[in-house]
Amino acid sequence: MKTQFDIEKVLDNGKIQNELDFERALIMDRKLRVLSQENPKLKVVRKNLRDLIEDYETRNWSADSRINEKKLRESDLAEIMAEKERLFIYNRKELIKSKLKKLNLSQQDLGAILGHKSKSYMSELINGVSPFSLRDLVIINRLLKIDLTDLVPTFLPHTEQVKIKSSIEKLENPKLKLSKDDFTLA
Amino acid sequence: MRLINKKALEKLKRKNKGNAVLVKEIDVLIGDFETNDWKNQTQLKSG
Repeated sequence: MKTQFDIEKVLDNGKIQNELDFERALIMDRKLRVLSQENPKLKVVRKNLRDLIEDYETRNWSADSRINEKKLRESDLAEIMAEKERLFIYNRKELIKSKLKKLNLSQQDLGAILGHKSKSYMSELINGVSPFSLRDLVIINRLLKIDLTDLVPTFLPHTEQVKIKSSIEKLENPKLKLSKDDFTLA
Repeated sequence: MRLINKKALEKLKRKNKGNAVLVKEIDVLIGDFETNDWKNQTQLKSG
């Protein structure tokens, strides 16, 4: 399961598959607008992403598309989820930056420790344009003393929640129960 | 002109089906964006 939008995978697929990825793509487009001013390579990425966004909208949200209540609800949930992810990445970025400041380290210094030489790639990681590897996050956790729950998104998309709930119910094990708090998106 | 996130407007239309004035204005807005080829904000303002 993806916990973060992987722009390269979506561009490789040549298609946006669902509402959640569509909402994530819209957020990514806004991030890329800012980041592409510093990194011209991202202008091409943004253009390609906008092509996919437009294609998805034409297929699913044009004036003559069949839009029912279910689809509207799915879209609302996807918007909430994508916004949660955006906030999570924003808070993670601020947390990392403040810890780096306390240690008198730059973003590039952290990149050197993680083994990422490119300044722009480090910026992509921090801003959530490219996903951190688990190795990166473990190093950040140890080095900057940031809790893993602030580094790794632990909330689940609605479709995943439904699948897990159904699997747990099938097990019929009274000891195995999930409270509402176990799912961030109720 | 390319219009991204047209979905937001389509959703607004579907959720306000009864508001014929709003629905019509949204269609006009979408049409304006799609038929005009504004290159910058100045052109957009001058209409």
